[in-house]
Amino acid sequence: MIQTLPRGRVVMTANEAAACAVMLARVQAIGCYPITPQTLIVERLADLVVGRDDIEYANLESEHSMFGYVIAAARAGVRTFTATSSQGLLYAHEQLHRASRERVPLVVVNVNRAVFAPWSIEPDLSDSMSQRDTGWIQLYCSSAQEVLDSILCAYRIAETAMLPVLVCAEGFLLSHTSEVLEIPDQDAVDAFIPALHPPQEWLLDPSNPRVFSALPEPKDYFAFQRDVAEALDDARGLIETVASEFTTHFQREKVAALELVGNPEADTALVAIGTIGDSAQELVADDDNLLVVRVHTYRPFPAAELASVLAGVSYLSVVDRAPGFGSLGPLGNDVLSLDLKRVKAAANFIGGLGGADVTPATLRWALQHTRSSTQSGGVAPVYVPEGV
Amino acid sequence: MPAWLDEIVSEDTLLLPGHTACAGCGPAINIRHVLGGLTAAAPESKIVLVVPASCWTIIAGVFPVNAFGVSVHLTPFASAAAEASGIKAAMRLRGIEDSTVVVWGGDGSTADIGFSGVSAAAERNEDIIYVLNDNEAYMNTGVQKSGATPEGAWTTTTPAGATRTGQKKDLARIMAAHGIPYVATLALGSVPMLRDFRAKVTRAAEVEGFRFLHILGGCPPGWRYPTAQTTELARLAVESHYFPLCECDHGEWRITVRPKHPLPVGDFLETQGRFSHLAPGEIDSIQTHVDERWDALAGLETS
Repeated sequence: MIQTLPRGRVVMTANEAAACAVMLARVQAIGCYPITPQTLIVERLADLVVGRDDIEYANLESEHSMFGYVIAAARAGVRTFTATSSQGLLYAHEQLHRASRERVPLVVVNVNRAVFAPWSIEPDLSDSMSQRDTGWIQLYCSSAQEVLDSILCAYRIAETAMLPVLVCAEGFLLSHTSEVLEIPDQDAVDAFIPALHPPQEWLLDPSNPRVFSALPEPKDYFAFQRDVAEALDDARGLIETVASEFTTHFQREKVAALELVGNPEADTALVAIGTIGDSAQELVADDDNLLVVRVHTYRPFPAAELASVLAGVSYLSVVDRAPGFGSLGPLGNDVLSLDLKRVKAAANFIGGLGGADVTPATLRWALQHTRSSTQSGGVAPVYVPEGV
Repeated sequence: MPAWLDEIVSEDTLLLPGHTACAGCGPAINIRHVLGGLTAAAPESKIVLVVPASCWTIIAGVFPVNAFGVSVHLTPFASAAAEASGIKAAMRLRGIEDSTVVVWGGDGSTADIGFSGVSAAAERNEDIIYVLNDNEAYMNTGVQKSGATPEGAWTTTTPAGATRTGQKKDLARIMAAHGIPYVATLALGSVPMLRDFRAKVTRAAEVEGFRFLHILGGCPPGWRYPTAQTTELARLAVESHYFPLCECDHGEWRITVRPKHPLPVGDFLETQGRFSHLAPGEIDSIQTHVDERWDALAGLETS
């Protein structure tokens, strides 16, 4: 029996919300390989595709093959989905580079999980942060609703920009935590996401023989890479447009690149990503002199927008949930390389690795640390000490 | 010339003139007959060739040239079988029923780095043809040992005199053990062998599900022999029982070419520089293994 999707106001986890979003987007080919904490997404999808002859669902033997499966299916003209976490994303690494360079409009959910060794299934962002240079659009979520909404937007973005999109959600904090959220009607989603029509010259068409990704001369190879960079740069405007259309269409606010909470004139700012960016918003209730910036779109990096919102800031704290071995953390590197002339003191904090707590108290400690410092950037990040 | 041969000789080749394979490349001859045989068996069916990293990444043409008369989807080393599965799924979803998705994978890709993917696609019984284009080493990178390199063979990573344990993986039997509908071994060493070759390609076109064709193809620079000897070496490989021609059709094993007077394996080995360092005792040991494999294969025949 074909299962129907829940609709309207429901209580569900981000993993369930992701499965619903994918079905609402009328996915055609799904590649599956289990890994905690993502597995519930592909399990839920397996149930939802029973009896559906308009959807192909394949159990692959590895994430490397799974990404290959969806890349090839997309190349041959169908809308795809897959999901993974941690080691799975890392195992597929060469396919990530390849998907963006082949301009494959994939939508993939990565449920963030710490990276071996030692073993951990707890959340941090090491997995997807380490893939930030693979040419994918990366969206980091802070609620189950944002996961659902971002997947719907991701299909629009991917299929317009012809670039893959990774929608990231921290394991357990989001994947296994039930929240109240709104599921839109199928008709509304159909009106928002048009049918897939990739460019004819890009499509693998058996009756029009062509070779794809053939060996080029160096100048042509160079041009292909430059095209990917330009497409990512151009995607900034597209992400903004799609979010704005989403907000109007579904009557629900959709963050595009940055979410700002607090005093825009503050002399102190905290920049964070994922659920830490959400936790930080609690701080503005008793701090009039604080602006919290949650980064939602991490690639393409919203550099100009961030530079603009941080232009008047004197004390800047950037919090990463991924290590910065031999350098600053990933977000720290990106934010502290902006030309921020008013900054008197800045610091990059690394916390929450392997599921360690980052509470509002931790973030208050970080703000205090920066305010009492005179360093305007520094070369080393501050690993949050135990117990703060 | 018999009519069947006349038809083959006069058919359009789907590997176009001007491709960049080496002189004497065995696989270049083999692929022409795979594509020709599939087209002859199902003229309406459009072929999509899925090619993992290999010499064929280059032979397929330097951008923007396509050396084939069919669409070619190039993949990383390890994911060709999964990608062929994805393309076939997309063809079903788009209602394109007349497509034949063919992987053309080397022995490094198939026996080594992509093996789990090949095994999994077979286990799922994907409706694709997987061709193992076996030249018995990583030839594109300059002759390094693969899981399909025979015992005793020189490669740059098994130099003459190096201790090499183990034997070439028997991919046909391994794949048949997956219970897939059709497995065959093919080589082009003579006109009768061409007939056997084309009959197996035709059978592969008829059957649905996962089909595995293991084709031996000589590599002059890798095996170290004169370029004009490619078909002669294929004949010696078959007639010495080094590479038996057989098939397993829905579980029924059959040796399809049974040499009347089997040659000693030394007759095959002595033609190639890669075996020139072997001492007589080592050749005897290879002969023992060749005989054991032949007997095991003969034991699988049901009739």
